[in-house]
Amino acid sequence: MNLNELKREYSRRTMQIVRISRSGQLIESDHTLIDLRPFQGQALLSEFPLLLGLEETILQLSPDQSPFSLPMVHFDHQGEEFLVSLEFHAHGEEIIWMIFDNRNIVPRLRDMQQQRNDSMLLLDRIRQQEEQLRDFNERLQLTNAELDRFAFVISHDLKTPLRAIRNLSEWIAEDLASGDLDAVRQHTELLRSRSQRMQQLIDAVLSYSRAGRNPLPPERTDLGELIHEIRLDLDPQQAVELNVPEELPCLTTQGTWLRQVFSNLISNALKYGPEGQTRIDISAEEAPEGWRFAVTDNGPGIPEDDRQRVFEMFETLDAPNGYENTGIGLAIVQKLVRQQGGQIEAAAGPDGGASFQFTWPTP
Amino acid sequence: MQKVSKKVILLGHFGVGKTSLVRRFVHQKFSEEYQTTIGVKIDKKVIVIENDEITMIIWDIEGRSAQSKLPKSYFMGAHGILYVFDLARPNTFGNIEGDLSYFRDLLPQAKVRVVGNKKDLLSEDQLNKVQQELADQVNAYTSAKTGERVDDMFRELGVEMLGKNESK
Repeated sequence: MNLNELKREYSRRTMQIVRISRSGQLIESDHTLIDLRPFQGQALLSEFPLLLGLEETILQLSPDQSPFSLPMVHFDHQGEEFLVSLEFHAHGEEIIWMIFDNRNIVPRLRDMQQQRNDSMLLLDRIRQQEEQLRDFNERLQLTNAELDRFAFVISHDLKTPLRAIRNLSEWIAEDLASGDLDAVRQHTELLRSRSQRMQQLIDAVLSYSRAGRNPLPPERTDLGELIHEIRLDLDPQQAVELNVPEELPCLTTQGTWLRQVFSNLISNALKYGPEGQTRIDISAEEAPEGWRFAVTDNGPGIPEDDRQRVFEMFETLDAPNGYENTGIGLAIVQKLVRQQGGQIEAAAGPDGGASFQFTWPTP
Repeated sequence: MQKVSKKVILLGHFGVGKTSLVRRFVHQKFSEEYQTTIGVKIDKKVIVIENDEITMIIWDIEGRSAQSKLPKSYFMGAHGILYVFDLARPNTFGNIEGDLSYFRDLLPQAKVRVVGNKKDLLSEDQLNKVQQELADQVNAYTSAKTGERVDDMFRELGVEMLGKNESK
C-alpha cells in the first residue's frame, strides 16, 4: 500500500464523533462504531476501561494543543472486537473524541509489519548463528593447537620408555641365548618398570584430555570444606603443616574443577617439600574478577627460567625425595584455571619455596 | 474488599512473546505461530490479592527495537510496566538499563518488572549463562509456552502496584 492508497483508505473510513464535557461526562455520540448509550450522561472518561489512566491528559487538553491520539488500538467491547484509532481534540468547553475504524487497514498494515518483523527475526537468527560459528571456530582452533601439542608430546615422551622396552627385550633375548639368567632377571625387572612408566604416562595423557570436559552447572562450593576434604585424602603417614585462613569464601562455581586445582597444587607441594617438614600456606583474597588464591610451599622453589615450563605437559623438575612425576598435575591445573577464565603463574614464596598464584573468576 | 483498576503496559522488542504472555495469563492459551501486534491490543483480567480485587487493564504494545520510537500516548497513565525480552535473542536484552531509564523518565511512578521470556528454548547451561550476564536486572524468567512463572509475574506486579508485601 503506497501513501496515496493509504490516504484513500483513510478517507473511506467509518468514524464516530463523541462530545464530552470538561467534567468527563458523555454529552453526545452518534454510536456509529461503539455503542456508548449506556454511558449517556455518565462520567465516560473514568468509566470506559480503554481510557483508564488517560483521563487527566484528555481533560487538560487545550485548543492550542495538537490532538491527543492513540494511533492503533485493538479492544473488545460488549463482545465485539474493535480496531480503531482515537483522537481527542479540545473544542471550547468540550472535548471531541474521534474514533476511526481501522478494520480495513489493519490486515494490510499487519502484512507489511509481519514481513518486516519476520525478516528481522531471520536476520537475528543468522547473526546468532554466525556468532556461534565464530565461537565454534575459535574453540576448534584451540582444540587443534592442543591436539598438535598432544601429538608432539606423546610422540616425544612416550617414545622414551618404548625405546627402552624395545632395547630391553633385545637384551633379554641375547641374555637368554648366552644363558645369563641374572641379566635376564635384571633386564626383566627394568622392562616391567619401563612398561609401568608408560602406563603412567598414558593415564596422565587421558587425565589431561578429560580435565575440564563436560562442565556442570555452577554449584555452591565452600572452599574451607573443600580444602578440609583434600586434607583428609592425604596420606596420614605424610607429615605436613597445612595453613589455611580462618575465613575462606563460599563460591558458586565449577566446584569439581576448583577441587582438582587445589588437590593437584597441594600434591605438588608435598612432592617438593622437605620430607616430614613440609609446610603449605593457602591464601585467598577477593579480586575484581572473582578471587585470587595462592598455594605456597617451603620446598626448594622453582628457578626463574623454569616457571613457565612447569605447566607444560610431562615437564618435571627433579623431586628431592625421589618421586617419579608424570608432569601432568600442573598442566591440568593450568588447563582448568584457563578454562575458568583465570590465569596462573609460578613465583617464589617468601621463604624461597614455590608459590602458585591463580585467579578464579566468579559470576 | 477494595476494588481497583490498574493499567499495565507490556514493552520490549518485537517477537519476544509479549502477546503470548498476555494470552497465557488472560486466556490460558498458547500458539507457536508468531503474529505481529499492530499498535496496542487491550485485554483485561481480574485478580484478587489479599482481599483486594484488582482489574488489570493490560496494554500489549507492538514491539520495537527502540522503545523511544513508540508513540508516547501508549505509555500515558500506566501504573505498571512489564519489560519483556527473549532469553534466546541477546539483542533483545542488550539495552535493559537504557530502556528502563527511558521508562522511569516517562513514568516515574510506575512499577517496573523485567521479564526474560521463552525459558523453554534454553538448556539449563544456556540459562545459567544468561542469568550470570544479567545478574540482578531480571525479576522473572518465564515461558508463555509452558506457563512457567507467568501468573506469578503478573501477580507480583499487582502486589507492587498495590504497595503490598505479599507473604509467600
